[in-house]
Amino acid sequence: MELKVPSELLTARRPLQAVVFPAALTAFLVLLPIVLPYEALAAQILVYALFSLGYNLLFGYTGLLSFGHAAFFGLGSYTAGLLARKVTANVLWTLPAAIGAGAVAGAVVGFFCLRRRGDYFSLMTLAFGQLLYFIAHQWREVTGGDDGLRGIPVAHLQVGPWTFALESSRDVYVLLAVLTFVAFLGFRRLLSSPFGTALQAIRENELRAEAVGYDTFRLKLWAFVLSAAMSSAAGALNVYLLKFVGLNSLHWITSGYAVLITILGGAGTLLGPLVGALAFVGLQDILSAIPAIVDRWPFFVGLLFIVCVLVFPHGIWGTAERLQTRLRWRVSAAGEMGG
Amino acid sequence: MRITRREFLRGVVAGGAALAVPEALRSIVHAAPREPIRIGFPAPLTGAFADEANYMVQGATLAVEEFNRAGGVLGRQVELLVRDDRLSPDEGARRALELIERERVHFLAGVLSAAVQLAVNEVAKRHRRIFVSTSQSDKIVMPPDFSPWTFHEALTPWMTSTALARYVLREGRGKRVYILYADYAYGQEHTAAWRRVIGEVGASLVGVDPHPLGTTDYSAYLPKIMAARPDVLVLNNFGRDIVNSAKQAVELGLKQRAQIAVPIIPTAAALEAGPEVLGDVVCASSYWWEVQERIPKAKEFNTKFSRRFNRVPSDYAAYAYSGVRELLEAVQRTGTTDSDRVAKAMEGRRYAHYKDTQYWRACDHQSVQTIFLLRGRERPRGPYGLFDIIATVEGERVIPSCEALGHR
Amino acid sequence: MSAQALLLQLVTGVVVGAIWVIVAIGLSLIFGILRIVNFAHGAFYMLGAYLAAFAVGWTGHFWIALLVAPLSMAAFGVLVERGLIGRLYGRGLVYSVLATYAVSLVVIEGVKILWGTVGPQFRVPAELAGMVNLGFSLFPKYRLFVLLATALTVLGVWWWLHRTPMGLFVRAASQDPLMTQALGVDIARVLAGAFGAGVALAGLGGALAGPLRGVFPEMGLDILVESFVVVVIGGMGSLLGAVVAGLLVGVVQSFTFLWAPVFANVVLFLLMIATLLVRPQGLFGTE
Repeated sequence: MELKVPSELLTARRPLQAVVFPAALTAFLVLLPIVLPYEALAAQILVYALFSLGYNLLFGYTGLLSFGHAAFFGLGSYTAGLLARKVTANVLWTLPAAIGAGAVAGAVVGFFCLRRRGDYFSLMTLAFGQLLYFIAHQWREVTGGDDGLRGIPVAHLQVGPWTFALESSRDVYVLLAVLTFVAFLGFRRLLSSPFGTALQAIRENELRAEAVGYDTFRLKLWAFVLSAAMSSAAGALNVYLLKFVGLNSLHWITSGYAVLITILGGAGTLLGPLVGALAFVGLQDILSAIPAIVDRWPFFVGLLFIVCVLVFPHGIWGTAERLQTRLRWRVSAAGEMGG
Repeated sequence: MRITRREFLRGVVAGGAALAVPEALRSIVHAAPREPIRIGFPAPLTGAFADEANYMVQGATLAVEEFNRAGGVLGRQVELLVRDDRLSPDEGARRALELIERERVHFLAGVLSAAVQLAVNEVAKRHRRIFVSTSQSDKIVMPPDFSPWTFHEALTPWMTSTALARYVLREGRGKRVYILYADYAYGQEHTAAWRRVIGEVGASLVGVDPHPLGTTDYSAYLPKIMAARPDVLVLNNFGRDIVNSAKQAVELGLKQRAQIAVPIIPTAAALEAGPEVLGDVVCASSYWWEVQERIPKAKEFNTKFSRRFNRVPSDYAAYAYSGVRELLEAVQRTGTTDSDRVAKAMEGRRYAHYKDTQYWRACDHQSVQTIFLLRGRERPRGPYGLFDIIATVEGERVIPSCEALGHR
Repeated sequence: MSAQALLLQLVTGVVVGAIWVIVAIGLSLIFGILRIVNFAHGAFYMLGAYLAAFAVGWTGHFWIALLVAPLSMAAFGVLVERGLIGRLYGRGLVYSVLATYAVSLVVIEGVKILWGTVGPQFRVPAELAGMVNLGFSLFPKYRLFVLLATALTVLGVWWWLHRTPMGLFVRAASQDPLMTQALGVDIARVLAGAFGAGVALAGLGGALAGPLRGVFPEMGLDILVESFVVVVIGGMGSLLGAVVAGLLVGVVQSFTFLWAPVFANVVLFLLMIATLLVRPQGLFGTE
């Protein structure tokens, strides 16, 4: 294991960061739909950013490689979609319900999967993901099976006498931007809390963390639950955007997206998921707009990941943070010498 | 590795430029009258129906090219924007949204899977755009899926299977029926139609099994079917699923024991399966190129298509050609791309773009048309001469009434 | 249900299992020796089917295709190991997963770029068309051939592992790579050879399945996950385990189709979860 300086330690020294980070994030979220050619694309990026944010907590910060996170993404989608069809399309009900469903499922799946380590843990999450996929596939009275869920009413926010319908992609984007802001700030807090530190201790060396007195199983289970809940929220938000739920949301390839985006952006970095989602979804859109490529974009994504694995194993944001850290050390070293 | 990366980056930069330029141009052009008429065309270019999807895209392309060669529509060029829906409804919905929001298409057409078509129809409905569907489904012409902007150029499963089932069960080998169907909208709808005709003619259903869409190995279903000793084996599936299921059933000797019936064998699947599998198999179809012996318009269409694409047109290529052609003619007549007005102009109209006359029924926008019943030849006539036309059924004889579909 | 029908269902399941066996042996070999969960295995299966279909097209001989496909896939596997996978040893599970998944994307999409989204025709060879009488039922000759080919392949792999020097090194490397290297074995060559052999087996599986199920770019997606199930149940890295689990899962699924088709796929993953919970090393694996 290599030595890694937690970025939070470096940022904590600089009080300015406390203002800069939210301001920069706000600027990014405001600019994103303006710069991109259409709003649904911006919204899609944030959906995947939130999905990977949840995934990153488990994989990037706790060191647990799950192959089955589509289970939670899809569960959130179906929960929000079914509630909207049968009960209410009010986001204030459907979103918490999706998060709750994700958390409960995360607790159950995590409870079993965390009895195994390493490859066995990963394969177990894959098995649970597939199990859920095929249950949804067969249980067509509820899920619509291969046809998916149609006829989902437009989601709305109802607060007291005011109702805001999330009709267009722009409406959904606004909700997503607000939630993304809250989620990233919340995760930033969480990661520098004792809980966050403990997770990272588990990632670096679980035996040592255990020896120090952490109840690692419980901590890992909490990480699993939070991660699943977040992925589930992302799944629900995707339904507000698409107004449709399909089996793809539970497919193992969707689990793969979370892994790819997290690593592309930089596993174990706070902004990695956002940067990764921007790069992944943006690249896909750019590539498929080139007439010679169109639907063959995964070929180039595959090449990108081969390069990524060989040359930038820490992902875009991870590499940037490393360069920044190195630069800062060099600057401070030079400063000391000068003084 | 380095070269690959550089090439890759170059691709990205070129892509960025390609993306930025038309966007900038578009905003200038947007207000100008010469803006092209754009038709979004989702199709399953990958997956179990890919082969037939390619035919469909060619059919639509042919129609668009004909208009453009003649100076366009309303003096504007027509653009066909094809997108891969990967045979998945979520992807179809996503691509349809992208076509409307990003490409600002005026209309949608195409789609080959019943499930994807219903998902795309929802997006079109929400954005009040005409969608000319070229895929079979019953639900799409029924509330709540049907919308004033929905047009269904393809036959419905109900019509197709009713026509075929009546023929097979009245004149066929026997009355014991076994149904194997793909477990999604298409397979279920065809199965529902078969069940009704089985009741109507007093036949008996000795077994029904669903299989997941895209199944490749059917061997586990077959012993059960053999043990049930059916007189008729119905395969309610599509694309590669037909090829694999029919081939494996024939390999196990089911053809000698039962009449195999498939509601539709799209041309691509028929060519892939070949006469060894399809000999004596019966199916229904909206079009088989050999109808040109009776319908001059078909001969004309076959010639145009094969001159352009070097092969005979398939039934779904014909749907796509006819649907796009009919849509653009309506645009021409009304002088607008406004979906509401174009839709009004299409309602009730009679047209014949590649076979005998068909018409849009006003209540559900279903294209009422002739159905051909085909039987596979044991000895084909040439590489494409796979089927004998054994009967024709008028669409009106098998279409449910507007009231039965829930229209007032 | 008559006894004949049940027997037929059993044989059918065994044949479906046989294809899993071949593919899973390759996956298990790669896992056992390289400690890599190979997400490109399905893509290699597909590429093997393509190469075999082309070989039949060019030469007209199915038998040549059955040699060409695995041999060229072995060479391709060695190439991938040398160029990419080999650089990732010791970097943890995730990078090998990511790399093999990326390879899978490149192979699948590359095939579409080269040969389109519709695969080549691949028919059952004339000498294996038709049926044989098994006593209780007629059965397609080709499916029996698949069973025979699987048996020969399993024997061949066993012979390679236990009767050749390379096999000895491979087995040694799977038990203790450091010690093996210390004894003067060129471990890099052994690892490349093992990966190549695993890929060749995937290719052979595709070549055998092609005439039954058709050849197309996405044909490996389902079998990839299914062979994970087989490998986990049999025990990762165990040859015998892959054989027993492959046949077992094939038969279990076949009878689920008969009695409760709704659970046919669910049962696979329930078995996988149960194995991981109760006996994570699988039926025949060692801790």
